[in-house]
Amino acid sequence: MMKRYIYILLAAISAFVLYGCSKEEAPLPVDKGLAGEWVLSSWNGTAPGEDFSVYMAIREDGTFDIFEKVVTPVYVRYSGTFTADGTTFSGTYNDGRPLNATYGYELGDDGNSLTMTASGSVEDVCVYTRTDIPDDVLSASEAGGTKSGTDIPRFL
Amino acid sequence: MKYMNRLLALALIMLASCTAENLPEPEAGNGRYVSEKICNTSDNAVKGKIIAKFSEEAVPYVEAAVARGVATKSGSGAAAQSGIEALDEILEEIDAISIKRVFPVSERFEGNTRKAGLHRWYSFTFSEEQDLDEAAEMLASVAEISTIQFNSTFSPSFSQKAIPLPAGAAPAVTRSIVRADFNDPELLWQWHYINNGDLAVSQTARPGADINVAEAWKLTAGDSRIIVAVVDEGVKYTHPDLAANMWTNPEPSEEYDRQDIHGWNFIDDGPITWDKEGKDQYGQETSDSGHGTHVAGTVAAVNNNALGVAGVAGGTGKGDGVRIMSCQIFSKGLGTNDEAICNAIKYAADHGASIIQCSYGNNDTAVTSERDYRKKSPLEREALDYFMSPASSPEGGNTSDVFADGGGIAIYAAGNDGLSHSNFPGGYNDCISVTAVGPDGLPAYYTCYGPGCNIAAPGGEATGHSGGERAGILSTLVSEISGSDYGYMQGTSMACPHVSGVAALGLSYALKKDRKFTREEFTSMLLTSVNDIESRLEGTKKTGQTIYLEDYQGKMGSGLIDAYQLLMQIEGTPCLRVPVDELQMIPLTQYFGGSAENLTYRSLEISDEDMEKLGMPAKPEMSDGKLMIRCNKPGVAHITISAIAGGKRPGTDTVMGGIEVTKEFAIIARGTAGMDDGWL
Repeated sequence: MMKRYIYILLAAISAFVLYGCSKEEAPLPVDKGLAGEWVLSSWNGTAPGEDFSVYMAIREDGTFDIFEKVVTPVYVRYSGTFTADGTTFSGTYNDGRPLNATYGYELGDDGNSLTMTASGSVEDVCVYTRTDIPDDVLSASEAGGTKSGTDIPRFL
Repeated sequence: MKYMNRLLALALIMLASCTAENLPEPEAGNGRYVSEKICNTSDNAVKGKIIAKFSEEAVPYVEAAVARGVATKSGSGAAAQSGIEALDEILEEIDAISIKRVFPVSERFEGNTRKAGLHRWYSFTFSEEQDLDEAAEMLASVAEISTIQFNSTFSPSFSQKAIPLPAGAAPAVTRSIVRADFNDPELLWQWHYINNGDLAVSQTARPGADINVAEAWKLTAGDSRIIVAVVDEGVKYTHPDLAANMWTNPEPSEEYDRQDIHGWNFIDDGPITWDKEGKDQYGQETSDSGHGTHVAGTVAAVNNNALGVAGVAGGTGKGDGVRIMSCQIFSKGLGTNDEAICNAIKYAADHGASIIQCSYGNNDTAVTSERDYRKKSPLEREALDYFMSPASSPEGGNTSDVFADGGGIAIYAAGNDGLSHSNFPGGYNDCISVTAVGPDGLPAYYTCYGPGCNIAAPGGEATGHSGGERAGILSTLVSEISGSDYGYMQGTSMACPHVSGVAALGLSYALKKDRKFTREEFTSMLLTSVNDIESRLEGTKKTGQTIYLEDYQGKMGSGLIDAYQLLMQIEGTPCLRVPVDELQMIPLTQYFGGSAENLTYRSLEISDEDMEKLGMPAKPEMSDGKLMIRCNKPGVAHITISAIAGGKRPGTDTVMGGIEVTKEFAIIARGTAGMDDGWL
C-alpha cells in the first residue's frame, strides 16, 4: 500500500515537473515574419488616401503598437500583445480589451506585404505594406492620454 | 483743332453718361426732391465735404484736372475744377476748394485700386458754410457722378472707461491654480484665457468659460508672418508689452511721407497717436481712452516676457508673436468718419493684413439688412470687399497670401446696446460679428445678439460681479492716460479681439503645419471651433441689469470660441466611424463644435455612388441636431453638411442672418467591434 502511495507521489511530481518544462518550452507563438513596421495601404480594396491613416509596429517579443489617425485629427497610439501562429493573428490591447476581431493573415512572397482578414460575416480585408514609420507618427500619444493627441514639442 | 478736341471730349462724356451705371429715378421725400444717387443723410456728416463716385469714363477727365493742378482752388480764387463742364459749373457755385481721390494714389497699389474701382471715389471739399444737402443735390444732377455719400461721422460706440490694474494686486483666490507655460505675472487675472472659476473674479465664475487657449499654446503661440490690423484708436507701439509684436512697414509709403512705420493715423492724417486730448462739439474736453491699445494687447501682447499680461497670439517671447498693424480711425476721444475708416481698411489690405480687428460699429439702428447697408455705406462696403478679395482677382484686393484663395477676414464687435441684432458692418454677411459673455459663460448684459451675430467670446462684465472690475477683460493700456500700462475694459469691443487672436493663432498654426485653407474653409473652421453656451440659457441673470436668458437662445452665434478646437481642425478632419447594419444617431460635435446639436442644418450631400458603396437604404439626414445614418456595407464615403453659424437662416439681401458653414468629412462603415478603440 505504502509502495502504491510512493508511485502516485512520484507520478504527480513527474507530471508537475513535465508541465513546468512544457510551459517554459512553449512560448506564445509569434510569427517572426510579421516583425517590422507596416502601413495600411488598402482596406477592402480602397486606399485610405487622405481620409485616414494606420501604421503598425510589430515586434518579435509579441508586442505591437498601432498608430492611427482615423477618428482623431492627430495620430494616437494603441499598444498591446498578440499571438500569430502562421495563419491566425489575435491579441489584446494593454487595457485588457481583446482586439476587435481575430484575423487570418498571409505574408506576401517577398515578405513586404501583409494581408489581414477579419473573421466574421462583414468583409474586412486590410493590406499592409512594409515601411518605416515617420518620427512624428512614432511620437503619438497613447490613446486616451493627453488632449493634444501628439506630444508635439513644447516651446518651454 | 482745339474746338475739335472739346467736341470729342463732349461726345465722350455724353457716351459715358449713357454707359454709366443705371441710375434710379429721383423720388420725393420729406417734401423735398432727393436724388437716389445720394445714399445716406447729412445727419452727423462732416461739414464742407461730400464723397462721390464717378463713372469709369469720366475719371480720366478728373485725373487730367488733378494733373493740371486745377482740382485745387487757385490762389486767384478760382474754384476747383474737374474737367467736366457741367460739374465745374456746380463747383464754381459751391466754391469748391478741392477735388481729391478718397484713396490716395500709390504707385505700388494703383493697379489693384483701379481693378477694384476704388479710384473712382473722390471727395469734394468746400466751405463749411455751404448747405450739405443743397451741394449734394447739385452734384447728383451730374450724369458722370453715379453715387454720392455724405462723409458720416461715428462716435466711438464703446464704453471708454478703463479701470487701471492696481499696483500690487492681491493674489487670486483660485479654486485651482492657473497653469500655463508663460511667465507673464498678470496672466492669472486673465480669466478670459484660463478660467478656473476664480472667486476673486466672480462668485459665479465658471471654470472653462474661456477661450481654451492654454492647451492651444502648447502647439503654437503665434507667427510673425501673420498681420492683424487693429482698426481703432492708435495702438501705443512703444508699450513695453506690445513693442516687440508691432508690425513694421518694410517700405513706408511716399503718400504718407514715409511715416507709416507701424500703420497710419487716418483720422488726423499723420503718424499714430494714442494720448491726445480734444474738445467735442459742445466744448467738453475729450481724450483718447487706450481702447486700441487694449484691443491690441488681447490679440498679441508679448507672451512669456515676465511682464504684464499675455496675448492670445503674442508668441513665446522669442519674436514669434503675430504682428499688430495700427490703422487708427479714432483720436482724442472724438468721432471718426467714412473716409478715414475706408482708408484704414484699404491700407490693411494693401499692406498684407490677413485679419482686420474692428471693435467699432455703426449705431444706426435703421440699418438692418445687407441691402440697407449697401445702399447707405457703399464706400465702406467696397473697401471691405477689397480687403476680403485677393489682389490677384479681377477686382483686385488684399496682398496677403495666407489664405489659399487670398484675401482676408473682417472681424467685428456685435455692439454694446443690447439690441436684438448685430450692428453693422458686423452684420454684413461676409463679416464675422462677435457677441460677449461674462466670466460666468453667460451673455453679458450689454451685448447685442440675434441676427447677424456669428460667434461669442469673453467680453467681460465689470458690473454686477463680486470681483468688480476683475470680471472685465485685462489687457494693455496707455499709461499716459490711465496711469498704468494695464487695466480692465468690457464690451463686445473686448470680445472681438479674442476671436481675432484665435483666428491669428489658427493661421499661425496652419503656417507651421504648411497647410493652406480658403477663406471660406477657414471661416467655417473658426465658427465651428466652439463650446456650447445654449444649454445654460434659462432663467434670469443679474449683473449690470437683469436679462432673461431665454431671449438669447440661438442668438449668440455658434457658441463660445475655443482656440484648441481650431488648431485641431487645422490638424485635419477626422473620419466618422459608423458600425454596419445599425441605425445610428450621431452628434456632429467634432465637426460643428459644442453647439452642434443646436445648430440649424441647411443641407446634406452624398453621392449616389457613395450611398451604394456603403449600402445605405436611405439618404442620411439631420434629425434633432444629429446625423441619422445606416450603412449596410463596409467602406469609405464622403458627406458634405452645411449649417448656419448664428441663427436659423443665412443672411440674405433683405434679412440679417448667420454665416453658412460647410464641412466635408469621410464616413468609415466597418463591421468589427470596438469601432473607436483601435484599428485592429
